[in-house]
Amino acid sequence: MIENSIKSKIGNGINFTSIYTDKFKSNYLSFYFIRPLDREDVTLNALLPMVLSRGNQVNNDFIAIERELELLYGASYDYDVYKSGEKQIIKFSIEWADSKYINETLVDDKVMEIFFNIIFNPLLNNGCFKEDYVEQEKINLQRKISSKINDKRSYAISRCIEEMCKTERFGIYSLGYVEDLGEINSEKLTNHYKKLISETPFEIIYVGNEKKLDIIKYIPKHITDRQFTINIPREVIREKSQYRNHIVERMQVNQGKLVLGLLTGIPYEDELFKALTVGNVILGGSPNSKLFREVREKYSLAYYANSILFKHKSIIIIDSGVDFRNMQRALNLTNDQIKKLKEADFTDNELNLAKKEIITSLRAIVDSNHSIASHELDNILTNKSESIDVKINKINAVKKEEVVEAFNRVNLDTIYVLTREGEDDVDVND
Amino acid sequence: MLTIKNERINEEIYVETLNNGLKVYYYPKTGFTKKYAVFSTGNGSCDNKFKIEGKDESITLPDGIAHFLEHKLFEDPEKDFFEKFSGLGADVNAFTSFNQTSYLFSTTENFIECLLELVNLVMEPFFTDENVEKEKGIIAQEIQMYQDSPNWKVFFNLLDGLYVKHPIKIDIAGSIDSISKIDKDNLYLAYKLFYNPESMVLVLVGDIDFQNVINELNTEFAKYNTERLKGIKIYENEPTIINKKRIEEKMSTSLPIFNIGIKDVNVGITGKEAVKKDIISNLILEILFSRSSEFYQELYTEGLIDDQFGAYYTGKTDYGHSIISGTSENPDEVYERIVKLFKNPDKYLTEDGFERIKKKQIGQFLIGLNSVEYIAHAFTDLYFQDFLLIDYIDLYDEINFKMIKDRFDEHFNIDRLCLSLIVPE
Repeated sequence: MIENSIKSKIGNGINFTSIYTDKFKSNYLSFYFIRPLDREDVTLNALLPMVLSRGNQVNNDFIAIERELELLYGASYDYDVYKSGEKQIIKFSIEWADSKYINETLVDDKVMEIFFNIIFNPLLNNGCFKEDYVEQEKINLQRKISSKINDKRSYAISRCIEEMCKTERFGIYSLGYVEDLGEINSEKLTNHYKKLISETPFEIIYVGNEKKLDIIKYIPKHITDRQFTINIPREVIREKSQYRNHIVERMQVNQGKLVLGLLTGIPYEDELFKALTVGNVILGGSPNSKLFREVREKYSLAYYANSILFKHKSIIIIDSGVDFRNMQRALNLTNDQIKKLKEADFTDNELNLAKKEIITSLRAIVDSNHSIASHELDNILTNKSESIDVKINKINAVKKEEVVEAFNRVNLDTIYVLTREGEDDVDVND
Repeated sequence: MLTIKNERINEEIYVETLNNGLKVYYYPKTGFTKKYAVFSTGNGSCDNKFKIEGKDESITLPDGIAHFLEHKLFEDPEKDFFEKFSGLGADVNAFTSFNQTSYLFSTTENFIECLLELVNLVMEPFFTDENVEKEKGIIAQEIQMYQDSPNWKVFFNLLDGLYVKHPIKIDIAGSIDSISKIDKDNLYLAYKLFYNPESMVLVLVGDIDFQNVINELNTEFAKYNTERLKGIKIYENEPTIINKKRIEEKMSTSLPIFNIGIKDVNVGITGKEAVKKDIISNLILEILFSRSSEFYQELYTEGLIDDQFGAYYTGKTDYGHSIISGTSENPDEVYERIVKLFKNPDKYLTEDGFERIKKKQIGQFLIGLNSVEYIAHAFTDLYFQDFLLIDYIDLYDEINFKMIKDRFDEHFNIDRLCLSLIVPE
């Protein structure tokens, strides 16, 4: 069973949260660098874990790291760089089988050593990261950034966000920019790394059944003893736009993409935010939603029509994949559904179904060690210590009037259309 | 009720056959709040030609009909299934693959009610001219969405290169042209062929009162007409040679994307031997191509591949193939290096690598058992190959390095190698 999380501060700006449970056959440890999303640093931050994963003082290359991990029954190491609101998160994680099932002792210690060596004991040449590792990973990062075009759905969403938040941090692409790679070299990246480990808030989260993990002994003393950490600003929430963005992009595609960006102006600290969450699900967060029923089921215009609420930035993104000739109809229908939320044109049943939908996913969090960790991190990032039960109660308490009130603060800000040459554009006037 | 235990991993399963012949498996996960059910038929997009028992002529169904059926079973004259399940606190979904169609839900409450709704969803088709027509627009957009996915295209182009006649080369959803031939009559016909409880399986995972579930299911199933057609699937004779050596297509992508396939000719086996062949093939591919291999390290350092590079084997009774995939600025060079490796594998295919990868796969299998979804899907998949998931881990004890070498010699043959490429416009 899940016990409460136990938190301890193991250094200045270094927090360790343990969630003990015997439900899983594995241990999961994740380590997060929390940085402000910043145009200057974003590319360096994205590159850093790629270079660190190449090798360290103990295991010089990834083949050595990987082989050690395999011998520990496939302990799986991973890293990720993403944005959470206007924060850039560099995440390192490792998952390994519970020693109970594999007849091996000391597995935990060995895994910890390999993991923390990747983060804190990089391979250095004359005080700098190995040059060819940096140069190769620069190319790999450049490819990663350019490959965002391959998946048209996520490309369209990220383009809409980029245009919508052009002058804000949230518009920054989480993996950085090709044009910034040129001036990065081993020395610059090494200096950046040193700065990062000296001033960045770290969160470490463990989910599993091992109560004797002594994390602190794997973190260098000069880091646990550091005096200063940077402050991570809270996201700026915009309420209303001056003018509406309308972006049309043309590419050789078979299906058009229609993406709408909406400002809500309701921060997650606001009591009304829960109502906004429920309203978003009524609009387009499930197969019972208005968008699914109208755009897909009733008019057969799309295979998917969804609405996502970005909690930390308080914006809603609606996206659908539509045949070019139906683009205008899909846009009008989507606008009609938003209007229905504003005008209280939804039933108690729709309200209850949306609440159930949210509650079901909240309840399921405890069945996955990865979800438990991300839920915990989200609480940390939003300065809340709300338990899942409290969240469920708050969702249940949302009233119809509150949803209507919340949606009356919602404003369409950006319309992004991905289409092909020769197709008409859509009329965006109300 | 039958119980099957595996002490080593501390897991057990229960089996019961219902009055209508349907087999129900229960895999307990105590302490989990989520409960998961998957109701499947072993018919998918590859099942398109049949001879019906008692009739002379054979029938060919339009491409994509299994997937169309999957969409249409959600239709009901009185209720909206999505609403029903959400009201019960559950998420319902379905998918169609080459050999299987599955309907599933996950819930944290009202498990029995949800399960009976799932049975109702699958057992009571309701097709009208109107609702069939309406679905064509939705599925057409689903097909178009996949047409814009380079990973999907490179994969299906590869299957087209590897197979001469086998229906695996046909897109699961069919084409806009083939779905235009679907109507309520051929849907009912396909339904009667595909959805016979005796050849289906229901898998339940979570913390569930199984005996009670069985009683409820027997009562529920008694309500439905289970009169079905008995169809004998017609297999085309697939030659051992491949269809094309190389396929290239242009799309709007950033870099060339490649799939290199090897056709398996050791087909026709089932059960334990087939699953073992599957494990051995995947062990070989990991020894040769995973991040811990010399080959990966060499190509990565030369900038020929990036961390998208990987390989896997998949197969069923009547087909099988390995796929090595990735992105590269110079995919032809990657291809050449793989050919070279296959001609001279000794440096890479080592016993040491075998022992490491074996440990890794055992550990990762254990980690997989954390997930009710993984269990249910892996269970169903293996069930249709006549094997029980609970025995899976023990197969590793029976595999030795000689088997790895023998299988390498048999399967990794450069005459059956195909390169599929998507290149930027």
